[in-house]
Amino acid sequence: MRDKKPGQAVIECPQEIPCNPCVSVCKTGAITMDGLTARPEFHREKCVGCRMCVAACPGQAIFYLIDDYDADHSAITFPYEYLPMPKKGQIVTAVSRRGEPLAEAEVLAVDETAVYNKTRLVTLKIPKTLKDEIRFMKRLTRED
Amino acid sequence: MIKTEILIIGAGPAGLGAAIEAARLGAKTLVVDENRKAGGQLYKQIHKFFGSSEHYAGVRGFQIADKLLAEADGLGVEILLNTRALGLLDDGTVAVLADGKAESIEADKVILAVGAKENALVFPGWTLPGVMTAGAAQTFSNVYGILVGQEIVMIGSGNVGLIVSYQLTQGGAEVKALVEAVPDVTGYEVHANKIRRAGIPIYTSHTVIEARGKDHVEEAVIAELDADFQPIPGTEKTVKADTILIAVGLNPRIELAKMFGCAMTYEGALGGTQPVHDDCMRSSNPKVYVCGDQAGVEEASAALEEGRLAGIHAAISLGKESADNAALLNCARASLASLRSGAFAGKRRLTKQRIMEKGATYYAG
Repeated sequence: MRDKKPGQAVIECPQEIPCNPCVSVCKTGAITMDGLTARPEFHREKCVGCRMCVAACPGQAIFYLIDDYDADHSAITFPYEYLPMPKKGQIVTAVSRRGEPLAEAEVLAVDETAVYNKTRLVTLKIPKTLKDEIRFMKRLTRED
Repeated sequence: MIKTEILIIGAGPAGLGAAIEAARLGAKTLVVDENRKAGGQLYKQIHKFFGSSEHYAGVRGFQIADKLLAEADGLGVEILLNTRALGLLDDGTVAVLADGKAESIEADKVILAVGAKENALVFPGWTLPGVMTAGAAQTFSNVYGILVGQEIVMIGSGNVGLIVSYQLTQGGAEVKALVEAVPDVTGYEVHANKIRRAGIPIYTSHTVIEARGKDHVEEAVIAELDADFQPIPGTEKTVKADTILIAVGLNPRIELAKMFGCAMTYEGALGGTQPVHDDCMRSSNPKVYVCGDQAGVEEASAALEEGRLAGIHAAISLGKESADNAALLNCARASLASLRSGAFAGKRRLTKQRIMEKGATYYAG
């Protein structure tokens, strides 16, 4: 899903580990790194919202956040590699960094392209008040 | 008797890296591997790799294996599968059991790339069916498509424990708990965060003190550990589980290196006793190179680069020419060094340095 509303990559990469696909995949130079093990730096003014970094990060540590999706909601995109996949329009449970349920959320998009190399991107519409807490969704079971 | 210029034992990332570089320089290169398929542990790795694009970052492990095998094939590397290296014979040849038939191989240089084996952990009930190593569970699920259990307790928060927990969850199992004896997660924080988001609880300063069950694991008893790693009475918790997986590190497979007379050293941070080597991956025996986990347990990307370095040096030492030998070696060393840079790899870097200093003494002057 490419939404024209301005957003930003949120990079939660706390350690100096040897890894830089986020930098290689960013065509506009919005993510830079000072050496292979430095932590990535994000330059918001250069980000065009393509979300390639979200799919490319082997640590699944990059999220894409649109703060003002509408008056009360933000939109968050994260990588998702479980089955079954959620569907657009489905209501799922948005969870915290620790997997704690925080809110019911509508699935705005499920994206998959060859270049993502088997990772899918899920975008949820979430309450603005929880935009800094919600980072994932409760995994679906076959019954969902 | 089979004759080759360079014999490589082990067709995992280190062995394939060595084979590709040696063959590229024109050396007649033969790889033997005891498995039915080349690629080593790479075919079990369904996650995207770290590193930079030159280390195949963002590519999944099994895809890297496909690329390496295609490259080796294109360069004329011969790979004998289902072929186990038995050891060194008195005449200097290497005995192998190829498809059940004994053979000997004469080679000018031998590159050992035999990997590492998983450590065990002993606790009451550890012999019950349902207790196994994380790598075994990963082989079952990712190679044979069999989930070893539905309710898992994982011991160890290194990258193996974290990644296998993630993969078994992808496969449909529920990881009920991941326990780690030390106070912090020892693997990459991003791997830990991935499974935390999936709702898997990580208990640091905890271990499994007992596996219970009649003829199969039915529950795991976990407990908190004090600063001396002793269980704190009263903190025991029972977790319903059918599988307990052990991911408490690996140790180098050194049997062949010992037979070849390679000098050994002990480095706990890299898995234990291992052969020393110089900055060209030469062991103390000038005919024998060591690389990959067997030369100190790190990870697949580093193994691949160590293999490349060994392959380049072995070929050059046999008189194979490149445009610039020194540049080629330094390029491989720089690539390896980049994987060991950063605060998180500090201990590995220093340990490797110490090993190479010891290894260099055999080639001084």
